[in-house]
Amino acid sequence: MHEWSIAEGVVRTVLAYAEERGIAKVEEVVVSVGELSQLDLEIMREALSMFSGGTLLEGAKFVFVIERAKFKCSRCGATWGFDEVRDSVEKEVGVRVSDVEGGEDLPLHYLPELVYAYTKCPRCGSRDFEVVGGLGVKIVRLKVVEGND
Amino acid sequence: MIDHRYVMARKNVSAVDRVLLVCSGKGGVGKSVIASSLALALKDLGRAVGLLDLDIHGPSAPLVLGSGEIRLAGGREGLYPVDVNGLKVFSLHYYIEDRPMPVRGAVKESLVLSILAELAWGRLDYLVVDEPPGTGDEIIVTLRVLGDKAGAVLVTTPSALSLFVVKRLLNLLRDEGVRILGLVENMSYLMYEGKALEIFGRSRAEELGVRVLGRVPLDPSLDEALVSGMGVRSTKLFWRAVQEIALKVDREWEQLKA
Repeated sequence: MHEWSIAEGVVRTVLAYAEERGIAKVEEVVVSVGELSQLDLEIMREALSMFSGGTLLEGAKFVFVIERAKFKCSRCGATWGFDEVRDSVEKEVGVRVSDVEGGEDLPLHYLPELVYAYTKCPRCGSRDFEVVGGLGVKIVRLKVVEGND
Repeated sequence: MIDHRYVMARKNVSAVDRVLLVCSGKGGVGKSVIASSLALALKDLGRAVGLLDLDIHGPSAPLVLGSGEIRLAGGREGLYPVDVNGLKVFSLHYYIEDRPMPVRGAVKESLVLSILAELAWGRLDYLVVDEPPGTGDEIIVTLRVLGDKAGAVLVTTPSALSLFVVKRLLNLLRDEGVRILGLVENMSYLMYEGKALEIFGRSRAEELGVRVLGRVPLDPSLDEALVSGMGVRSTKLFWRAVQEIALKVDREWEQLKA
């Protein structure tokens, strides 16, 4: 459920950006969501809408672009996606995070960078790999109505 | 566009009164043991204390605290620190256990920022931050987010080599406007037949021009206390020295506030 804290962070960040630049209204916010963060987009949308209420963002459209996770081995050059290692990661992660409102999540839900501890190159077994996409949440684009000044 | 995690991170420490950075330019000076012990000693003074183990590659606070069975929990506010006998603790060790964490560069910076953005500390008098050695991503990102509330406790040993490296960190902290609370000289001496033997050389703590908060002796009972799970409070010389340092830190901060 930490979608709520992320949504609040996104809204407050966009607001600060808009207020600094004298923007009158924010009409659209494009948010990139990394596959590894395993966010529930319905909860995100609900939370974004709630935090936007009564601000320059009220009524803004939130567009989510899912960024698939991509890995590249620095040793053997292999590339792979999260689907190829998902089962082994879920098995490798010994711990789960209990949500106080029910259910449990992989730690990646909160700290997607932890994937570096939970997986290896499926071809050569090395831990020397790069995650070249799909880690977390990023605000990538805004559509705004400029202010008068 | 600004990274939204900075907003989250600052909100997370909005009810934290003081951030205590326990740091050293040098590895192997016992900084993590000092940081965790200082957190315990401040809690014993009646303060609400959090301990943030920011050592990404070698998290060790759980060993010092002897946390045993723990439960990881999260919710709308983000991740909740683990409650270890009244101390609020975050350590990557709880998540990765004995696995290596081979992150570097931008990903490491991102991980530190994610940790700061996710941890919902609630109200605290002190957030003690166990910084890894050096002047890399961990301390740079911490200062960016928490610098306004931070005071630093530097940890060194009497070794000239250690002091030589700590000077660099001191320069960084001064350049970034961080309040320096003082220096802890760890492994300062060994008590033997009533005499203090300076086995790593004579104390050079004064040479740094920073207030010396305390000299912590080598205590042969410390390792056994950690391994057996008895905890640092079961040591005598070590724990007494840490308690005195905690008292000084607490008094100094109260005076600064006043």
